[in-house]
Amino acid sequence: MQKMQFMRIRSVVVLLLIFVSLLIASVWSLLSGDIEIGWRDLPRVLQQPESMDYSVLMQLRLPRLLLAFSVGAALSLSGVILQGIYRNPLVEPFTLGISGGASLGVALVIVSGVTLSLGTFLLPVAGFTGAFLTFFLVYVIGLGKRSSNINRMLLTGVMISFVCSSLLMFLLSISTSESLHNIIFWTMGSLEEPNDKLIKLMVGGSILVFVITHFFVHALNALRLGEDEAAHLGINVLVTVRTLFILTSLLTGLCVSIAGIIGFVGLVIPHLMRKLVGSDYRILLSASFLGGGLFLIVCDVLARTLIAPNELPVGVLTGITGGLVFIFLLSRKEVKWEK
Amino acid sequence: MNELLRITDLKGGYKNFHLKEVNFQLNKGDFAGIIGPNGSGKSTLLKLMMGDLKPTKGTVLFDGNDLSRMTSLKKAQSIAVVNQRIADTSMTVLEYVLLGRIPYRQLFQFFEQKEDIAKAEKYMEMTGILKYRNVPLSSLSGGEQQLAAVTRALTQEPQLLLLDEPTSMLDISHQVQVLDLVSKLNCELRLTVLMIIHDLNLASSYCNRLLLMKKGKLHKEGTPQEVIQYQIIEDVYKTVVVTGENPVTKKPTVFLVPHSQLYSLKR
Repeated sequence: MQKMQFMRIRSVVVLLLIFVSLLIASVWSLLSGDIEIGWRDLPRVLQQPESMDYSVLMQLRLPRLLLAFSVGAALSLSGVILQGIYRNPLVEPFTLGISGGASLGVALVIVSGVTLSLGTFLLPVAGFTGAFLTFFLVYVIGLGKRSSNINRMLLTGVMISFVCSSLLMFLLSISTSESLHNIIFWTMGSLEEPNDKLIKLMVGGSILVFVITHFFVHALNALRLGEDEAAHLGINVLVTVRTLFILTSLLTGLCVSIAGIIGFVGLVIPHLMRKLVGSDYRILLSASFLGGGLFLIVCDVLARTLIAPNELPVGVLTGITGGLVFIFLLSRKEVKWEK
Repeated sequence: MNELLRITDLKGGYKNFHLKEVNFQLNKGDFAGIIGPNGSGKSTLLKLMMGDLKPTKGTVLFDGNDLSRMTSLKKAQSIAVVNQRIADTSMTVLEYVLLGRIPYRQLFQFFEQKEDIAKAEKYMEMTGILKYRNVPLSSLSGGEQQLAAVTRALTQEPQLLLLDEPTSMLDISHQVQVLDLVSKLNCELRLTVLMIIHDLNLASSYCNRLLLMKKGKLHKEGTPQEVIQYQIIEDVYKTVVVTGENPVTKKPTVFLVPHSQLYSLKR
């Protein structure tokens, strides 16, 4: 019992630390930017709804903060779920090609100029459709009737990513200069989203999926032993895998369509969290969700401030930091996938 | 009623291999062994029984109820399975054993209750692995991991324990350790056991009933004395053997005869 209790206490402490860091990072994010607002001024600014500082805070920085948190949390959650389903640390929305499919869906809509009377929700719908179709392809090609062949699935995912990026190149080559600019800017990953509805959709969607996935924590824990063992422990493996796959496609589609391609969050954060809190999904899901949000908030602040007044695409920054952290983790002595 | 499992005309399998209408029944308290050469359909039978493969024909009745109509949770509360290979996991032994309580968890019950932990510890004590409870499962030896797997199966509190070649990766000392434990559970808890096993002598030593499979059919069924006969074994395994009696257990024992020594065999 002592070890289990120790692990639990340690996990709760880590969760609390992440939460406190999240709060600090959020305040840092709200105060950083072209117009400097000191933390001492914050209470004063909040009491002056007519001031410009207030508008900057509430209309520009708060939505961006919420978007950064929800996209980071959603990508990390998708990664940890997919890794749980397939018991493989290299699986995440990008390696499975789901992000590639989502980007192709979005690019197709931008280039073709169709609107389908969906208004604001056109890109998220396109992203989800692309993600879901890719998921379907990977699933059909990579899965047998019940048990998954992970190598086949990963290779299928990588190939689909290649095909998608080739098709994306093709779309770029035939697109007008205006849509060309839109696509290129969007593929670099940006958290600048002027539309409130989309931000609300992203925040609501990520929180909703986070809550729903908690119905599957025991299934994810049982899947650590493999699909057959999980089935013998009373888990309906097919329903679990399909539902979780659809949920992660939904999240990835949303993230890609709203924020563009932001890589590595789903790979690095779950890996890091496994080291910190262990592999029990009852804690790991929350840790990955909060940790992913924290990571992207920090990356966004750095992206905005490192070469100010210019701004780095946040996707570039997550790619570099994420990749380096991952290489560092792999180069350490004990390289073990915590199942 | 003494009958626990009744399999009637069970048929099904893979594209290139089909089980052909297997019939048998298990009574409560039985310790039965499924034996047979590679590719004779032992594992396919287990998979069809558990619904891992969909049968094309036949029924599996468990305690009078159609197993295919039971929910996966109810099934896990009734039948526990121990596989040949134990998953490589960073879980501690206690965490691993506690997974056996998943079939009893309520929808919103995230953490195990005291009762679950007490049950896990009770069975760990019974199987002699309580001292390893905080040790990572992967750091245990193969035999100890098998004991942990049996313990996890016990915490499911099943009526039937299915073992799929539980000793094939173990040395003789661990083979005896694991099967002694299963035998003890069979006697003390009156747990019904159905075990796939390759080693005919282990099967003969521990099981009170043997089911011999050949080319997807149930070839012979009966007590070890009825099944372990050299004519039957030679016919099924297509190799020359001699049978005798274990001087201690008085159970039939199979001796292999290398082809190079066949000239000295007189029948």
